[in-house]
Amino acid sequence: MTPPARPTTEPMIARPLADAALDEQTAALAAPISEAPRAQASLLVFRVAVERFGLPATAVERIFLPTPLRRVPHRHQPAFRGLVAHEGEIVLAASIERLLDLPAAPTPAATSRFVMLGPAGRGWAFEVDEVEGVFSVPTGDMRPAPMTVARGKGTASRMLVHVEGSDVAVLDPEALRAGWEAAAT
Amino acid sequence: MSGFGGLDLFELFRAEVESHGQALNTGLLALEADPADLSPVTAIMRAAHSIKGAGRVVGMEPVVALAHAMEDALVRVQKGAEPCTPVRVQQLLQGTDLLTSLQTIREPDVPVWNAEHAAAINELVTALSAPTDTAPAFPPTSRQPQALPVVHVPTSPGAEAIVPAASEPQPARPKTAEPAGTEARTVRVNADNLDRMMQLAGESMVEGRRFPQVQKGLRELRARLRSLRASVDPGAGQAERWTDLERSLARLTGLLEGTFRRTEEVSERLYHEVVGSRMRPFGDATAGFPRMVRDIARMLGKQVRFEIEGLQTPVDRDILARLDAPLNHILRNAVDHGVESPADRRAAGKGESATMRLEARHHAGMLEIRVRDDGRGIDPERIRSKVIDRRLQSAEVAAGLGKAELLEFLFLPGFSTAGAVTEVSGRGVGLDVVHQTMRELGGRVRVESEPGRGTTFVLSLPITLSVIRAALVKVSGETLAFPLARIERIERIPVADLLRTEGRLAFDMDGVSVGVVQGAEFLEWTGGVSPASDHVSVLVLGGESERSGLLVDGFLGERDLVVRPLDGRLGRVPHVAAAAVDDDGAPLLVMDVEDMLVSIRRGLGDGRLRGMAADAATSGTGGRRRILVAEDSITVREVERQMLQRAGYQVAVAVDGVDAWNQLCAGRFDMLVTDVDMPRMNGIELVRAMRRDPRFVRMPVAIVSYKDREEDREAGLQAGANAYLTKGSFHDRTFLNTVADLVGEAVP
Repeated sequence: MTPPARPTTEPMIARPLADAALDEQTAALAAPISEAPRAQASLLVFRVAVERFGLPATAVERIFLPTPLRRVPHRHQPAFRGLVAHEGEIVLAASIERLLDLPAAPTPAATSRFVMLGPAGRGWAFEVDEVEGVFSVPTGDMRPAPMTVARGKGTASRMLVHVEGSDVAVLDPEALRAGWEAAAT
Repeated sequence: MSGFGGLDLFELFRAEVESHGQALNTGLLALEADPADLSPVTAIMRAAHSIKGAGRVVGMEPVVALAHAMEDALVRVQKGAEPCTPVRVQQLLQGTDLLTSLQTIREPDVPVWNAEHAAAINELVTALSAPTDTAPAFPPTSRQPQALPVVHVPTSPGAEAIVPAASEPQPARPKTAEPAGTEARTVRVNADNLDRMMQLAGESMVEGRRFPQVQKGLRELRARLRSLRASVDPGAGQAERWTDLERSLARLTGLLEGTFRRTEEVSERLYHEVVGSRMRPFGDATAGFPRMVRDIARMLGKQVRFEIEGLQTPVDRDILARLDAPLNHILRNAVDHGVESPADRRAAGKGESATMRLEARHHAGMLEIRVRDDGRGIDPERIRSKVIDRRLQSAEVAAGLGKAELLEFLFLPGFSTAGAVTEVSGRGVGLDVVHQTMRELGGRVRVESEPGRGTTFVLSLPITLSVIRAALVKVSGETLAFPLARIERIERIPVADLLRTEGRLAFDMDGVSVGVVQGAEFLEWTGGVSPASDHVSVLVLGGESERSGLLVDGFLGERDLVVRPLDGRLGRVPHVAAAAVDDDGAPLLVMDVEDMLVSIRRGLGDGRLRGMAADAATSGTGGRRRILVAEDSITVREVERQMLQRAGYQVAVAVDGVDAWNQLCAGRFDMLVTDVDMPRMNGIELVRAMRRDPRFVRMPVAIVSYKDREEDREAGLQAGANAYLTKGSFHDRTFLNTVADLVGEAVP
């Protein structure tokens, strides 16, 4: 993760360069962009039971404390939970564990949070056991999820990446939205 | 002509025509009622002048010429150069009509309007310029009566003036562009903006309610400090500092409490102010009525004194906008059918001039509008014979109908007791539209009538559509809001009083058996335990004509809720009308009682409740063909159901298009028989939806409608119906033969 080494610019200002040094500087500056720092992705990492997931931070609208949830009659898809309100805005609430068919659901605890997937006005709120934080990971470090995961029923994980000691499944916001929207109608 | 600082000039022109047109109408009517009092002339002149100016800006020369001629004639009247004659007023009213007709046209249609009206305008300009004794009269109809009918602008002491512009003379300021008689300054505001403001104001009120929690926390903190101090016993010198700390904390707490209290007050006032800004005075919707009543009375040679009361009654703007059509219709009906001719009134021992009153007031949390006339009234026996004639009920059933029940028939589509179809009303359309509009607005309409003494139409409506008073109840552990306007009462009854008959529940309310359904089962919810008790809570939904009980876990109280639309991604959720946020910030669902009643009626009617025995619908048909009948009129629906059943078919009924669609999706049917005019989804939309869906592409559909024009038939067949019948087909075998042709005999 260290940027490629570049000759310091200080000598250029301080004294005239030798021809060889100038050539070296020129070559360094003219180097193609691909050698610039590696692309990074910001991931919001959260935990549901024992599994860790990541979502592109830009797709997350906000995070808030658990709040009363109301069911909607005649809507029985398990991945759709009902309505929650946050700051006067009524948001559809969904279940990530039921959409992804996870073995365990979040259990209420001090660390429980609602994560709201954007965009605002068409958001989806879902409950998680803990939000670990936003991490910057090089996109190049992401590797495709094993076939069994990527193709599994209702799975929205496309990539895996190592964050702070173990693997995080990177979720596709579009797949989550599509899955939940289907469950709500 | 558009693009003036983002404003459409023509749009502004139309707005001017609208407001000044009203001033012209009210002023001229006042002048007509009392030609000796010239005080309204100034206001009328100003209005004509303003329209002239506006016409010039948008380059409408005919408008300029007409308004100019009107203004000139008014100047002569005002100066006493010519008398104020009925003929002149009539010409001016005709001019007003021409001008106000511009309100509804769009800019591209201006050349067409000019071409169509050029001749009439020229003629009128000439007539207005000539002295009245030689000017050709413009009879509005060939039936113009000899004596001028009386239309009094209110004279009764209790009535408010309907012509504020005319009642107080305006100073002559012909150059201002203000509409005459504007009492309060008004601005046009984007409706979405207003809605958002209301949401935010509501939210700030909810935030304000969190204060008691903070207050409680602070108090506990102070108490803990006190007890801590007592237990640690600080040394000398420390005690004073400790006291200082406690005082500072107390002072800050006091400050905070004051701030919170004031903020709460301000939030609440802000909220009520914003809610109030949705309200418009009732008078905004009535400006055209005196003129209309006058014109119709005049055309029919009747004398009507028309009074409006409650002009300042606040009405939600969304409701106000939809009141025009129903009131228009009821007023027309009243003049045409209710009010007798002067001769008939004399013969009946009444004054020649009839009195019609339009009143608006707030009553028991509802807006109540009454239209009353002292005319001939409605004879229930005529309705009874019509019901029998039209075969809407058998003679035996009809004989047993009470007066109130008979009057209900007036609201059936196509039902009219008028002997002849007239220009004004009596085409048999209209009262059902009134009924429909009221239903859509969450209101009700009823008629009261004394033969020989008059008729009163009573419209009750919610005061606003955006804030509702609701009862909060618990069902299956969830909190639901039911609009109070649609709840008859909340009963707590002993379990022993619940009667079980054939698996259905009912209880006796004031001698009437009311069917009861389990709330949780009805909404398809499980979980949540009703406390074991020897009493149950029943929410009685609906009104006099139709009631159903819903068993709920408990009643939590009443609230004012700001109603918001349900998230579009949920699609149409049965039985839910809207969403709201409760005082504690939690979301709430506002229930659609109308829709619930429809489902309950169907569930009970079929001898099953949704979720209880859904399979029963398809079993036990004995291999007979199943037909779904969609029709909103209960009488027609019953006729169709019975005819088909007698022919051996298995029949299910739906009360509107949405209901029909839901049933089609849920069950197995061989054919659909549907009406065209139905609430929520009409027959044409229903058939179109079916033809787009692979499941129903081939299902035979017969439309049965009152509409018998060729274009209606074409519209039905084009939508995909296999046959189009009128309701006359019930009288012979046409209906049953058509059904048999399309789907085959009852038993294949």
